[in-house]
Amino acid sequence: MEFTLFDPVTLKVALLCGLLGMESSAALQLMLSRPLVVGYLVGWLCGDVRTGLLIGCLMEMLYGGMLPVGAFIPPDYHLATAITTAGSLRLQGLGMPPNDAVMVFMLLCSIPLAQAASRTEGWARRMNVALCHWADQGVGQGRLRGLRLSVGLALLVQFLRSSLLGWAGVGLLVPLLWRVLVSLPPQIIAGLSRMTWLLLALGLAVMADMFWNRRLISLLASSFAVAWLLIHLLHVPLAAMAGLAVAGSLAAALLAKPSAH
Amino acid sequence: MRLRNRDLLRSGLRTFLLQAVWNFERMQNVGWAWCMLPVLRRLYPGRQELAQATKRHLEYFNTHPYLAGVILGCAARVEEKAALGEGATAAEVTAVKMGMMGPLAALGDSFFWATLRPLAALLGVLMAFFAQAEGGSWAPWGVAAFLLAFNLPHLLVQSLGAAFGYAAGDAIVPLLRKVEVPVLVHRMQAAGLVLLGTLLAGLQGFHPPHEEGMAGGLVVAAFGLLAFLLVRRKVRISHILWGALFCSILASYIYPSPFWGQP
Repeated sequence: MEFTLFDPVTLKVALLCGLLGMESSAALQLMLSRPLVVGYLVGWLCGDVRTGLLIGCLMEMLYGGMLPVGAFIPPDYHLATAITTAGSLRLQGLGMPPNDAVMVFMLLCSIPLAQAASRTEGWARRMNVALCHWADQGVGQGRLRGLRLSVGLALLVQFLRSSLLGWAGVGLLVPLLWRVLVSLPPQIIAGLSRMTWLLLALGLAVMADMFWNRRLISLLASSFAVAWLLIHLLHVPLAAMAGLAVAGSLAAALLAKPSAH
Repeated sequence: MRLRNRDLLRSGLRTFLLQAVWNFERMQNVGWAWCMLPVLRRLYPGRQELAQATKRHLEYFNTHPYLAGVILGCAARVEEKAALGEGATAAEVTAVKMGMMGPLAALGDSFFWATLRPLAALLGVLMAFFAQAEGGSWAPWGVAAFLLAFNLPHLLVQSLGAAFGYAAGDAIVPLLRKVEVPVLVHRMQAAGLVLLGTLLAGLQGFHPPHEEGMAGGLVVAAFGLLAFLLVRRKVRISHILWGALFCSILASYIYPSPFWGQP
């Protein structure tokens, strides 16, 4: 399989990264740039929605606790998810290494990638200081067009930043990582293969931490017990279980009594 | 001239681009001034007055983007009073902004980022995993559920915020005090734990690439528990991941065949 910077999949993923780069913090913030959505979208672009969604779910659980509070710039999870998903899907099915090792390897490589990409977000925000001064000066002289232009320019910079990083990630980095992966000894490949369930367990641990409330621990235990009985003894289909889970969570939300302060 | 609904609507919709020019010096100031422009254009038809009023809104500004509309509505109300000579001053506009941005930022962060988003994500993940386990084609509904669960409250708040802030005026502070965020968060934690319990119970239907036996399941469960304890103690997730990878590779050297079954 040839990896090129100009094949249609690479370009489509790059365009998607650009649009989602704007959406993640500069515009709209409709959560379209969350890993769960990005994994699905990139999976759809690459022709494997199932694997894309799996990667998106894993990364959503792992990155779920990163909050964009104040001046903190969280890791660029949408870029990391897009490159991980596109890379995994392009490299899977080539025989060796096994697909799950490829997925885990790409996911682990996405961590430093996400950190590095967030530094470029910091550069963009520093550049915005210059735009701020320019707009300020313009308004002081009675020219208000500078405000609209600043907004447009800043959005363009975000789009270019994310699309270039996505393009380089899929077109250049993925082939490089493939060369590294195939040269790893089999024990490391086997270790990577085993990590899938460990990643899932870690993701669940992160989610549990986000909702942890000692006073509600019995709710977790009882919902687990009831769901286990329904699924494994009464063989209730999982589709119906999803509906029951939603109903149960709404009931729990309405009936939960916070303690008086 | 008095403000019209369409001025507030136009300004309110612009809050979707509030963070476009986020900068380290004055944060959301450029986006904020751009959002206020439709309101200011209506109140200050003269070019000099308009420029002066806009300059006022290029000061430091930082709040939760979904709740900026509420501040915009309140600030628009005070600006209208100042423009029409009804007793308000420019300093009061600044005071309203400065007084509200911090509390609304805290409210937005704790409700939208720290609670609603993880809850919606958990719902999406649960539906996606359950659908994958059944081999169903409804897995993308998990993505739709996530987006709907998060964006319905989000869009309601962000699109009506400006109108709400303008209508409430001086009564905004007592009204906001009635919003009991800790109670909301507690209820959403309860909802989240029910979803989490159901997800844990249903995961056995999700087939990993390798067939694992009982021993493998115990290893995973033990790791999950250890990971939870480490996360509670604020150990970085990347450190836990690298540690798990190291142990997994070590196990591969010690046990050449998979520990919990044949691949």
